[in-house]
Amino acid sequence: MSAGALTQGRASVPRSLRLSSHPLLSFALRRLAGMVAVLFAVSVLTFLVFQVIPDGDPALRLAGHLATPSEIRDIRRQWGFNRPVYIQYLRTMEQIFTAKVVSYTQQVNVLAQVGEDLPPTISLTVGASVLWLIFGVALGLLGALLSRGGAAARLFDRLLGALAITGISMPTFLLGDLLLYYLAYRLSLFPLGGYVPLSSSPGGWFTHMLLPWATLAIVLSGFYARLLRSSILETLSEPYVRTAEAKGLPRARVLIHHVLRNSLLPVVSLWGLDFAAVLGGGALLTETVFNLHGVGQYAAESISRLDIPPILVITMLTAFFVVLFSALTDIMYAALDPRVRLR
Amino acid sequence: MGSLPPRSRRDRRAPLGALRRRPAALLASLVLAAVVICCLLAPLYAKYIAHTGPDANHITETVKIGGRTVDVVSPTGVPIGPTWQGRFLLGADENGRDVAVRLLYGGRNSLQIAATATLVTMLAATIVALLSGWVRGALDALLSRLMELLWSYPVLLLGVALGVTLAVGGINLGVITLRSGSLLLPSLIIGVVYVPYVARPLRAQVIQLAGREFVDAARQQGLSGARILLSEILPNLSSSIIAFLPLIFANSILLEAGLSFLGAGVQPPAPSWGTMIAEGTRLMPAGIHLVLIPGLMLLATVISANVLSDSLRDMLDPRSPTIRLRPRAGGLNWIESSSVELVEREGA
Amino acid sequence: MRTASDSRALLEVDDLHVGFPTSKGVVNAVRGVSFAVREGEIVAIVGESGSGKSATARSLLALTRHEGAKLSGSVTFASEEILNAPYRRLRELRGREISIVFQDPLSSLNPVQRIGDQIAEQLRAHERLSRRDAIEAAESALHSAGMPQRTSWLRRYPSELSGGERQRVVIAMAVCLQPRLLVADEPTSALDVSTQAQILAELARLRSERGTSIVLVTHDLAIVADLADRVLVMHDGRIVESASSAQLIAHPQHPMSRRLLSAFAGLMHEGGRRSRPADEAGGGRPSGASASRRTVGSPVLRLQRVSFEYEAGLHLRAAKTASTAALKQVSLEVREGETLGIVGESGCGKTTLIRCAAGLVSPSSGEILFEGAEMTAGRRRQLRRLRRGMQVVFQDPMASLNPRRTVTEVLARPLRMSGVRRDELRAQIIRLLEEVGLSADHRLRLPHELSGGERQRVGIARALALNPRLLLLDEPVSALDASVRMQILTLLRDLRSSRDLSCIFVAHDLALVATVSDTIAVMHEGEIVEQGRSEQIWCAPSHPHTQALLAAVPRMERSIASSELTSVHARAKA
Repeated sequence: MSAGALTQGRASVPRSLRLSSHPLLSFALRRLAGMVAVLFAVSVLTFLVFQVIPDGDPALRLAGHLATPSEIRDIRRQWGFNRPVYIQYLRTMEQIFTAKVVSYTQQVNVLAQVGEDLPPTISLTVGASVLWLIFGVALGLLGALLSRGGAAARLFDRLLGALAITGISMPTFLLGDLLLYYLAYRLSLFPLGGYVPLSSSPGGWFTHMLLPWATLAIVLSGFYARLLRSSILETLSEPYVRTAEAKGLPRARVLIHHVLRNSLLPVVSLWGLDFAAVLGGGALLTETVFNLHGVGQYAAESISRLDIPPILVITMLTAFFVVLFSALTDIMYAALDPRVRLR
Repeated sequence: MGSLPPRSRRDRRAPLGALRRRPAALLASLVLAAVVICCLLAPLYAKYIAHTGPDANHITETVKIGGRTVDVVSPTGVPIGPTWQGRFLLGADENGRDVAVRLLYGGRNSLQIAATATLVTMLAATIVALLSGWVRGALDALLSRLMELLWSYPVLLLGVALGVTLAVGGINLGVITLRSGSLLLPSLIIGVVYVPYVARPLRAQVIQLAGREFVDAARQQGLSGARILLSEILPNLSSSIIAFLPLIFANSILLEAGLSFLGAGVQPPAPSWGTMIAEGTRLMPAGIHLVLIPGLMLLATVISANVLSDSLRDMLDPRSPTIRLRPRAGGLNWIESSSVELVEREGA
Repeated sequence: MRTASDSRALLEVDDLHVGFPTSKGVVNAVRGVSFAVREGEIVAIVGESGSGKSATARSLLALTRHEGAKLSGSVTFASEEILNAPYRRLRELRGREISIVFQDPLSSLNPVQRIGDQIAEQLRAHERLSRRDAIEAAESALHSAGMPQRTSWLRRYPSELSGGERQRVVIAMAVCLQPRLLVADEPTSALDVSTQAQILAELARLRSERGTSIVLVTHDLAIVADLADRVLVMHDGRIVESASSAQLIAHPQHPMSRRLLSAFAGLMHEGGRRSRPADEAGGGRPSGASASRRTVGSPVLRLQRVSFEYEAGLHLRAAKTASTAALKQVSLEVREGETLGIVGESGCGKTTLIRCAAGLVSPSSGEILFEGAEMTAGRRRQLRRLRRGMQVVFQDPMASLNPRRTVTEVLARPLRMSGVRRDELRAQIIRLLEEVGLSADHRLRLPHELSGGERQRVGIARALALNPRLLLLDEPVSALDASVRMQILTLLRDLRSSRDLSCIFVAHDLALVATVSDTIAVMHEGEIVEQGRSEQIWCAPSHPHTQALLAAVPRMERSIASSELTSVHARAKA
């Protein structure tokens, strides 16, 4: 949804002229309409996929393994699976938006379950995203500075690069498994997975979250470090950096105000999107490995049970977060970079 | 993406020389080649060295190590670790199957799926990019919306959703029937998932190329659109496509492993690196070698492919006006981890 | 305070060498340059691209040090060594004593910082000022650099200013601390002709009012003739000639200086249409008479009330680029054998007009007739054939050649289309290459293996391969180095007569257009504001915009063009 939302504007339209038509408001309205469209499309698509697949009949899920054909028929009539597809879709949507939707296999309220699963996911998202941003920025900056240094510094930069590429190439579930085995099982430094609510035990919450955070942060900070490093190197060759040097500014000011300020823009916008993806259950592998009982793990379990309502709810939730945060990132980006205009 | 410096007839063989000047790229290519060759030789290894098949069950048997007789799987269900000899070189799994044999057969599956998926992605993305970027208008709008829709799903969730539904039931699309358990299924799913990531930068490049004056010159010669696309634009995309290949390959392997880990990829008992790690995880902590061995193999392959892709991108022509745009999807959308710096190219 | 008469050397450069390490070894950009700049003096460094003039300029502040360059020799400013000065000292000198202005004002300003902050930052780096005082000082600096007094400038971002405004900001920033030396590295090459004149006037004022010494780096000898006291000609990293500007223009010694000068002087004297060898051979008529011969030709291309506008929204991105300005009711005519010049500033719609005429874009209304056939209607296949009769030579020779096709591949297709048999192809390609002044050796090269001038020759050969009747030349020489320009213009002149081509010649330089064209159309904001015979437009421009364009022509170029055109004009009147 986010694609093409920003344009690099070079035309010399006075800023005051643009502000007069409240671009933020119209942007928000347009994005809201876009979000409704995306949620609609995502839900219809997901719903349809489960209609056309051979084994997708929800009556079978509800009835269980030992059901007789007549029981299945009853269930079909009772749940309205014999009605036209669009009616079924509308009914499901109505149930979702009135928070009455129940899962077929376990017959629990899906929204309640998602609500229960959100705290671990939020904990994971917030902690891990802060960690990977800090590490990514620090390593990227270090790499960029080292790459312009002497031979020893460049060697160290290459070492950092090799680490980053290893992080990028590492599947989260493999890293999670290894961390669990060596740090939690062999050395007993951390608990063996699971989630402890922050309210019941802050210390327990922290120790339980540390390994999942580290897993995501190791994998993602490699990506951020590489992005920032190349972004900085690109910015360093910009003429305005040469201007800043020619102005006789202190080195730190050139680096922070002119180089870093411009190089961080792509990193910041990326961060928002990754944040949204984890929040919407995108880190389902990490959640599953560490048995966090988060939204992602719920999604993985529901999918393996072919349970349509939770799948629908979670895909819509993910799409919602992605669209919301991509809009927020765009607004933030436009605030940071005057060349970019919201539209 | 930028373009590799085009070479005149005199030095068309220069890429090999360039590879030689980059030890990292050379090493990566060698590792990749070694992995591929080993996996292709899996039947020979199984027959003449391990004397067993990938699915053969040896749960009740014993094996001699240094004169001692050891159960392949202990009465408590703990499989044997690496023996460093012909049989059970890398140990056994909980069903008493030879891990080394399964590793090679699984590698065949993983590599085959990733390679097919990469081809699917590149082919579909190139077609989408050419149509979208050249025709523009309503078709472009339609295709772009479609790509964006794919994009707002996290990759893994989408892959799992498609994977489970299709893998369990198979699919019948009129003419084509794919049975469940077919390797084509995960390949297709993974292939489709990555299309927008490649199609978008390629589309931007097509648009940029379409605005270049040599395309105007071709139009002025009275060439049809199709001929311009094939003779003027496609050759200029080739270097981007080449640079994308190892990148998509690496990510396809990762996605395959992720899907299989969740049971949505290769269906047991068929092996793949992902399913092997999943089986090992279930047996943790007893069988850490079951996680470690396929994990390291996977890691080596993906790192090599990523290094190769990096080097290819470095070899891009520095003179061409390339602008790196911010990737519009986060690192996470690349299967929770493996990320890509999408390099789009636009007129300066 | 300081005056121009104070003749102490402010800056002394002695045997400066600058080398840039690359993967293929060190590239020596500057190889032993020595010169001095006195207080209040303006010294111009002129050379083609790649001559090392820009690296020399940047080394005057030791900026090349940050680019990893290897520097040797010495640069002394007020008897102080710059090249190996500690960073702390350099920092004090830069911006306070020595300032620099770069070529592209857009990319040399930080895109995410407000104008006011960028100037204030410069002030505060060197003086103890509060933020508020700095902002106030910034405002007065902007005002004294010729920006209209309005507070709102300070809160603007660079992307919100026009090119000329940006360059004024850059200059204001460079001189706000009243440095003793200003280095201007191609300060006007990214600007329009009229803006260029204003910026140069600004530099002249700086010298006369504050006595600032200026080192002016440029590739365009014409613009420095008015301004500089002394000119250094650089070639291949060395200074090949050093003379006062009057002396250099009157008596250039080095071949390079002569080539730079002849770029336009020669064009006027030898390359102009009025002294074509073909004309002379045709009976030694007085040169003015050749014009009358051509007017009898029938119209080749006729545009009637052609308008073009972008549908809002659909092409938002495209509409922003200069090549897609709108057209308003343009009517034109090109007669057989005639050259029509179209002149105007960038963004006035010249390129859109060419693209409309060529059929690359369809006009929103109006009629285009090419040899009597309607271009705006009819079947696509038919149009495609029709189009082959007029070929375009584009501005940027790099962008107009497919980077992946060899010269042979570029030429083979149009030749095959025009009916050349496969077995003749090789011979025809070589013949065509020789016609545009290239040799058979160039056949297997790719565009990046050719020089700029060679690329443009290939572009011309490609256009000729289809035997067009009309050649559309879209700024064919503006992307080329001065000395190459002359050669390409000569080639075009020869081809025009040998192939009896009609041409449309589009450029932003009135002097250039006036000397190569028979008639001129002056464009401004999508409209043709004046149209007439070249000498008439040159000698008696009636529209104020034409007068402005004329005024922007550097004096030296003007005098040469005038000597040609006024005589023609006088004869025509008589």
